[in-house]
Amino acid sequence: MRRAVVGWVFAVATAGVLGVAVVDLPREGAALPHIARQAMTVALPDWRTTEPVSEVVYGTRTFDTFGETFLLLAAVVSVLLLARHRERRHDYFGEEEAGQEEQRYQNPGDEPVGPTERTARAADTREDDDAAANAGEASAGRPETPDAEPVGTAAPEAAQGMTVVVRVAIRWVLPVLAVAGGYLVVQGYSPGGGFPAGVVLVGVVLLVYAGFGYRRIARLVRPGPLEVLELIGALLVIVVLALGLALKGSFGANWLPLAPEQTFRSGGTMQAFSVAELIEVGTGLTIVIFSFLAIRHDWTPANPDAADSTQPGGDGEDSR
Amino acid sequence: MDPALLPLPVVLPIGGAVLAPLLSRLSPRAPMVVSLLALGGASAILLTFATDVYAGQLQGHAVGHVGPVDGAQLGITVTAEPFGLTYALLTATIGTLLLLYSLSELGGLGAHEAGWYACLAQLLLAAMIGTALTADLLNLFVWFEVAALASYGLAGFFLERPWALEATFKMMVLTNLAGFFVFVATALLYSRHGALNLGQLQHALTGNAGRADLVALALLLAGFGTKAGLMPFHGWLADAHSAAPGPVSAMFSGLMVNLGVVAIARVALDVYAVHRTALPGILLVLGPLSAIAGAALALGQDDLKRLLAYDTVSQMGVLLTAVGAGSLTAVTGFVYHLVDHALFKTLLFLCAGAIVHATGMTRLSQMGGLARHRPLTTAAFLLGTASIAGVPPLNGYASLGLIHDALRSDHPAAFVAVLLAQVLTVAALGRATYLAFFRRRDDEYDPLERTRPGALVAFGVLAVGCVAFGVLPRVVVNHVAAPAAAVLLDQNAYAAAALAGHATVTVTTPAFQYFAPEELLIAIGCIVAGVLLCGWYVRRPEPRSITFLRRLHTGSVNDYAAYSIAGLLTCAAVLLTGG
Repeated sequence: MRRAVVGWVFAVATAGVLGVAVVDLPREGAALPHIARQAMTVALPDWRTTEPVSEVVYGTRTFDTFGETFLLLAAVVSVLLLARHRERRHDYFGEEEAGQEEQRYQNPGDEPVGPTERTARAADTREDDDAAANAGEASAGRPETPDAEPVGTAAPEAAQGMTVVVRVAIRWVLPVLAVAGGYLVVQGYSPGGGFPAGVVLVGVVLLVYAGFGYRRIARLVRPGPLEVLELIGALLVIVVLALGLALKGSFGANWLPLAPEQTFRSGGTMQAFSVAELIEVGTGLTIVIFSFLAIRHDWTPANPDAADSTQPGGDGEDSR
Repeated sequence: MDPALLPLPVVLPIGGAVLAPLLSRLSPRAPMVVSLLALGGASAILLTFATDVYAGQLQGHAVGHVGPVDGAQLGITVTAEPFGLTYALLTATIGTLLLLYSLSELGGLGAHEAGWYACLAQLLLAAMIGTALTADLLNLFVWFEVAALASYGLAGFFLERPWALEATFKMMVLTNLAGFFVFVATALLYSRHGALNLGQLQHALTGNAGRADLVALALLLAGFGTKAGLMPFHGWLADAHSAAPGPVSAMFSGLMVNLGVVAIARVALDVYAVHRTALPGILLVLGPLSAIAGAALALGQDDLKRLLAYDTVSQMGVLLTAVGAGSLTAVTGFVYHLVDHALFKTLLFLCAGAIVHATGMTRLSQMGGLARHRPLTTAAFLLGTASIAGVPPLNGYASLGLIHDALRSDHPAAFVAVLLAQVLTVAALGRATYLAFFRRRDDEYDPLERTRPGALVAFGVLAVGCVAFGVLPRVVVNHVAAPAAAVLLDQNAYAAAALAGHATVTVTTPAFQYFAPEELLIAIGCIVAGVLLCGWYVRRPEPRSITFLRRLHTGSVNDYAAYSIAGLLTCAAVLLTGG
């Protein structure tokens, strides 16, 4: 209760401080910021693009977008690391031993299990059952589709039981979305280019997953090749921009001949950067989403078998 | 050197970060080798700028040839100037060393995790180099965020430790809050002045800092203060350091927290006409507060890496006190101590990490007698402790001497506070040294792992650094610290470099007596008082004041976020009313 009060007081006070600042800002009718003016002025003559947003993102502020590309990579890799499976190590790692002791200290075996812990463990068990059932190893008495489940049963994780309405709708929407995503990046005069296009393509993958379940998509979405593809996209970004330094004397400078505006190649290196970005964003976000879906709790020795079940490859691919 | 090459020290480690996980599929050691090459290359390129830059020739380059139009720089400029170059060089060289250490000590990791580790480590280092070189506020925010996202995966790397994820979570909440602060501040300044280039912002802010600018300053202080571990924004720091692998804690403490300090110094001294605002007063309160409370908390810790982490809070407090004092001597001392802190804190964290890695022990109460089993680690740790304690002629003595000198005449209250913090620091590290290395331990250790060659090289180089920066104070002051201070104190030169791409700065060296009797007396007095306090402390139960301080650190991220917001609100209120 007391914390809630403090929280409200702080929230209101912060809003007050930000309000003081916002009131002090120039109102509508203020001069157009220089950067907007510049983007509109140089987009056509310098880049042959009709889209000033792309000019800002991939032209004037290249170095920011470059940083943001690797901000995304840092996020993806952080998720991959934190959601990874145990991998076999050689040599002695004192940290493992320290971890085991801390685990005992935090979660001693003979402590009575509280209600929160009981719920959590029950949910874990249920998830494991679901996973087993979905993998087809043990149907465990589950009906064919979730529609046939009695009302009130815990929902299964995978979604292969979507109704025919959803499936048909998805089949119709998918090609439209995929084309729209491709269009955003290919045409070179769409706002933002590769970033939004990548996100749209991730949407396509997610729709397939939602409509047809994990197994249908697992053939396409495999972490191993996707990771390589993502790194290749990132590498392309570096190569495109570094060639500017090699050929034109500045990192990120345009080194491609400019084609007439509103064609595939208008925008010079801007367009190449945008395509590389599409690869990096599309694959990166897919990897993140599927890493979250595949998180298993095989690091805690609470379940004594888990510590021994070190997988030889440990890639996460073969463990499903 | 051609300033067009300036983005390369950022791009090379990023390229290495992409190649490392790809090559990990070929050999488990390939990632670390790639990282070593990338950071070595970055260091080499930075070094080629050193001669000109430290002579006072500042250079800048508009990335992608997007130069200024009518005095407005719309693209991004990177600059080579002594202060940023010092931090960039420090990051690249110590980063190389830390990756060498990782290659050797963590060489047994699985191939995939080693690849991702090398990837994130290089992204973090590249982001810090980017912070040092950029002269653009939004670009600064981008590198701040890259560093933040890379640090999450590294902090939680050892998932077998139950607190790894918890520490990552706390770090994420508080750093995201900080990122929000910095972003809102950038948006406010851009809306008001239509400028992101720091030089252009400096021109716009001269003589006309409105309410929005002051709120932006408070937000920047809170945002970068979080990264710097300045109290009360420091909640994430201790947890993140104790859970992370040894070289990662060293990277966090020796280099990453500096990102916050460097950004605060840059914004306060180079962009805002700081002495017309109440910011120096705020730094002269928050700095000593962090210095004393951090050291007191360090005194009360049982976990060795946690102890060192709180000591980092304390040292950052000392650094920001010097920024607040703002005189030539103080700022020279600030730059000098920034370098020194990176050297000795990296060394100490590597020692602590090596102990955890070899024994699996994290708590001082379990350790003891390591001096007999681990003579080299002991020697390295002792040297680091002696440097922090300011034992002449090691590096801490010279830089602390400068800071004490500057504070003594102008800011007596802050001076007393910094001395008290120094006594507490000596006691805290003395206690750690005694308990871990020299206390009698009855149980024998299981056969200990051998110390690996990479670790020995890293210890050796850092130890040589600690000694060299101590015995050659004139060289460091004249050729590194004073030029850097000159840029921080000469707003116009920095603005010219950030906008026009070149400028010259006149370097004045502060009057500085290395072996002045009063300096020696202060140093020796602090050490003796610290050792006595340490001797008293290890025999007594914990005093109530320290228990109180520890109770304030509840471990709840809600509380830490509340402290952070309270700090932001206070800073904003003081700046708005006092400016």
